[in-house]
Amino acid sequence: MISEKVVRFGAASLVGILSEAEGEPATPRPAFLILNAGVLHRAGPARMHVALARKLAAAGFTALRFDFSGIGDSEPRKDAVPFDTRVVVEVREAMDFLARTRGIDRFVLFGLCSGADAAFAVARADRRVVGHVSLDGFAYRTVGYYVHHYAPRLLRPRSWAAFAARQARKVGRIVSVGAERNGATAQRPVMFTRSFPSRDQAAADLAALAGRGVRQFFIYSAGHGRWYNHAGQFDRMFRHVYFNGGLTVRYFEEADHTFPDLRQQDALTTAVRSWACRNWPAATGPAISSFLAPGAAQAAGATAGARAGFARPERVVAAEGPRA
Amino acid sequence: MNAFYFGASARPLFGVYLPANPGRDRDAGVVLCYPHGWDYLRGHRAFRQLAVRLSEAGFHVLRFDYFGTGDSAGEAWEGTPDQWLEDTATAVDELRDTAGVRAVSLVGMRLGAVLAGRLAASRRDIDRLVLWDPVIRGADHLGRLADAHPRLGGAGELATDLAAAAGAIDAEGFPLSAVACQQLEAIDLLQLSVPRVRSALLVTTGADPGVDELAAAFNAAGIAATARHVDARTDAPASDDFVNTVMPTEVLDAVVDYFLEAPK
Repeated sequence: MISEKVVRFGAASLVGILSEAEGEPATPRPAFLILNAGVLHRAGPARMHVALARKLAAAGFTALRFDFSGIGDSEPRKDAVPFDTRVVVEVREAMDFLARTRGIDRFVLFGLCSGADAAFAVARADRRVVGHVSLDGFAYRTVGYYVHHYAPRLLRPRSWAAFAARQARKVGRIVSVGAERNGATAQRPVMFTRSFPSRDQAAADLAALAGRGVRQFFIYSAGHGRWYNHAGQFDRMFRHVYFNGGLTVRYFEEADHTFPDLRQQDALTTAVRSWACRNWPAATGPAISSFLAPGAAQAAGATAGARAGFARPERVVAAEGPRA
Repeated sequence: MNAFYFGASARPLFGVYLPANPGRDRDAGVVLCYPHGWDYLRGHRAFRQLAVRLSEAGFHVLRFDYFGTGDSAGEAWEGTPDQWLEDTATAVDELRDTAGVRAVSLVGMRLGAVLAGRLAASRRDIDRLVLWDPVIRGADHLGRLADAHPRLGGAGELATDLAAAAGAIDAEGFPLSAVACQQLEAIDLLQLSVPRVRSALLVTTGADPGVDELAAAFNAAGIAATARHVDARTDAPASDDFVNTVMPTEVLDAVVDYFLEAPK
């Protein structure tokens, strides 16, 4: 049985829903913080965050889904702190709240799209983060990406006709963009822009997190096809990064960006729950505890750092199964 | 602002209550009835903004999630229109108790407008009614959903821990069970009893056959009903375009003006 309650915390009195298993946990485990995706409120696309929080709580994890200031039911901040800084501040407030009220001092962050970016930023900034789940986070095109992108198209005659048509339209588009910049009203207000860090920076950050023993779960969907389009791409993106055994990657080749298909969503939330239970089991055995010991992880990271930051990758990569 | 759970303890509903601006308190309340599905996600920000504006104008406002939606209890496939009608009634009673107001009005968008209209037709204590892009005929709405999302054939098409009812529709993550589909199919606002309200505003942003006829039926029954078309987009963003949104300011203006202009 789980319980849910409304909680308010932080300087902006952020609104969140706390999902917990009833009764005292047998073993202290990290709490999951589920971050907003874009401007969608904390329930998530197709209620994904609700399903995930309840599934995690049923498995014995405390889960908090909340709205950043100005999103969902949380009121806007009264200061001018930019969003990138704000997310770190507000996630820390969530962590402080759970530390104060539940005695929880370790956290796993879950985010989709901009939520993944936020989760990664906070993971870098705060050592209380012991894991993060990045759903359609940063990605970089590889040779394999282009092979998977163009090979099917080269084999289709209609693709060549479409290519020619696009070239012809480019001229028209340049003219219309020029007209918009000369005073035409924008079609829609842009709330968020998203940019990835450089690949080298991402690699360095990944290695730093791995050095801290942070468990990292990267999930990509077919809806992220502009940047990621096949199983195995992550290995090529970051083949020189030493993950210290803490990396899991999964590619859902039939899922859209927001997992609107309930069967795919169920597979996603099940995968996250399984990953959580595997990394933070209810009863921690000696092999797992030594593996997670910060000292051992940092030593490995220092070794990697001595080799100019990278070493031969040794990581646990879950099978990238495309089927639910 | 007070976020809380209310209703039966076995089926708690999530709600957000905004009290009236103390300097302008009109001793009146408004319950906002969300739409369903991706309309709900796209309309969430607009409803929040509407609540803020109505609160500032002197109204006590409650917006809430139906059973099986948002942060309320229940699985997505457990919700039905009849259950949501009961939830709306519960919300009206909750606002009356929380704010101590006598007059409570309803604002409903899309399927929420259906629920608002049905509730207003079944009770004598609803003051005013706003129907925002209402679904006039449930069968038409269901037909559009079914065209875009074919009905599921049976148990084999769903994961084992999901309700495996044949005839259900999974509308991009917002399932409607076979029972929900049947209830939705039976809805026709033009066939309902006329709501027993003081006045009504029917605001549309697209082509909605039936709205003018509905307004005419209200007027013929002695209810001061206005049908107003506003040129604003409330449903243009695609289901996966959740980064950028459009705030239908023109519709919010029309609704707030309606409440401010109507006699107390």
